[in-house]
Amino acid sequence: MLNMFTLILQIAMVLAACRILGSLFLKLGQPRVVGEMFAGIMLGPSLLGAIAPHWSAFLFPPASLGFLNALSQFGVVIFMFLVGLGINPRELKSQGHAAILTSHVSITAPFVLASFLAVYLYPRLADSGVPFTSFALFMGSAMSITAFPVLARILTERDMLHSRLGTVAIACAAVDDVTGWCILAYIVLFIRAANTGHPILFTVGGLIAFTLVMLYGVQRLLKRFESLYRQTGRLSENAIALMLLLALSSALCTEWIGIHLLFGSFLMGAIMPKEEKFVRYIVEKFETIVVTMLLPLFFAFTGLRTNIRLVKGPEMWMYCVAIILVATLGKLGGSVLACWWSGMPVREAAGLGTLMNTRGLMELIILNIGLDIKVISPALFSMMVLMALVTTFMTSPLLQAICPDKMFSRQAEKRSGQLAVTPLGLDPAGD
Amino acid sequence: MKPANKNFAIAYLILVIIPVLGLAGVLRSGRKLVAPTAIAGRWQMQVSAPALAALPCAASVTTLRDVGFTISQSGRYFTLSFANSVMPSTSGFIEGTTIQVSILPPAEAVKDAGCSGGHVFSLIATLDSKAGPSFMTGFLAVNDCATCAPAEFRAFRKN
Repeated sequence: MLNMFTLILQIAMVLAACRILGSLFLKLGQPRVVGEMFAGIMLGPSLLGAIAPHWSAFLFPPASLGFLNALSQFGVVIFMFLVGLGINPRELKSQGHAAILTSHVSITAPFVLASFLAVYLYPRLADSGVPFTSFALFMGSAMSITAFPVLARILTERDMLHSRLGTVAIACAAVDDVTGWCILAYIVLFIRAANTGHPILFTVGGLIAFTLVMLYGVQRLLKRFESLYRQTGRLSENAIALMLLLALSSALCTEWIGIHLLFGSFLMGAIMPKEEKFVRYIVEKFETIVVTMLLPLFFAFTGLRTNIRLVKGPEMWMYCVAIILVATLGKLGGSVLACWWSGMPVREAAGLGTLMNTRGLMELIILNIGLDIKVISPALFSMMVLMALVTTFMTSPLLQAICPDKMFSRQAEKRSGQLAVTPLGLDPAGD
Repeated sequence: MKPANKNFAIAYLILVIIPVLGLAGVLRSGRKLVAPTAIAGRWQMQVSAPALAALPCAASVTTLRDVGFTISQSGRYFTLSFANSVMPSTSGFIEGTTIQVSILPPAEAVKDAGCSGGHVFSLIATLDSKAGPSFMTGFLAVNDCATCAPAEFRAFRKN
């Protein structure tokens, strides 16, 4: 039964912890989201549960977590709509060979390395309920994802969004995310079909029909939102509510056909009109409540599922280090190699590789899906969360070392009044 | 073909197409791999009552002859926690069809059981290959007591 006192207390605690840690990390030169991810971990069994189990049990009794999860999932549904909204396929086309090669290599390199690692980890960290193919594909998609919103935020904070490095990075991250989500949809489809007896033909047929309806039917209707915005410079509350309703309906459709809520909301965002001012207007309408309240709940819920104490003993820590190394080598190394091959100077290529290695929130979303469908075990989940934290945390200092601010100041001066079309929270203060 | 396009085609072949073929090979060969048997879930354990009573300090692990426990599995490793017990969850591993857990009851439980000193227990069980991975039989033994007869148990998975 819903205990309002517990739920409100939980929300208050989570918001306080996330704001404090977020501000602290901002002072350390990290994006706020990294601090919020740490705050989530701290509230879970890894820290609070270990040092004050009674407080932990009082604040987060297991029976109450369903409500926290529901709120956080709602936030992630809206967040994925905004991520889809920020993705513009035209950006990739305009970047030519460098972006195409880099984006594809930044997927295949970590994917292939992850599949080799999966051969080693499968007999150790998986169980007989998970087919090897699903396990390897999941590891690959989890390692090849890039945190598109965090990357955009870092680029904006460092005034690099309109540099060559910035535009290629944004384009590649967009391709990576779309590809990663498509592969994940495939995995979810097969795992759910195997576990629940959901007819696979229904899911595949439903997905194809749904995508066609979205691309050739709904997308045309969505253009009405843009024309309305162009006429008046704003959208009415009814129009915003309708947009939200469409995102939720799309999420419900994909859940019903057996994929996942998040694919529907992501697709709805992806097919929205991409006019810069329109996108920024929509993002501003939604982002405050999503970023300040709902996403911290997701971080907390993820933290409550992450138990770093499950990673114990030298053997388990060795797996964890291997995961971090493979993820970094695949993503960073692959991107650097592809960029350098395409003719980008080594330093810029290294900067781009560093940016592509940012996983952040998107990784946590994927990992939670993996844990929900039981394709990864609790210990592996915790190791992968650590990998997400490490790779996201290392981005800012590594980027500063490779591409110091002054390197981009000239390009920034050339920029005149351009609007940044980025998905979330791009205030340089990170607020 | 322009040199730039040729360079792109070569790079794409080496950096994308060949690795994707390699990935297909890994996925194909990986199907032969065997992961540890899935044992996660809630189990019901039935212990022989006289044997449990004869085991020194067994009450510091459980006082019930019919007790539930939950296994949370991560591949070869798992944590086991008893229901209705002050025992914290304890770690174990699975090798083939054999599961093994070392249990060190906390001082509080040892005191409540009226024991003079702490004992380390071993819970060793074998998954019943005929009945499937939902049944196991095994024993609970005191590690440092050669003369103590282990308490046999059997357990079945509830979900």
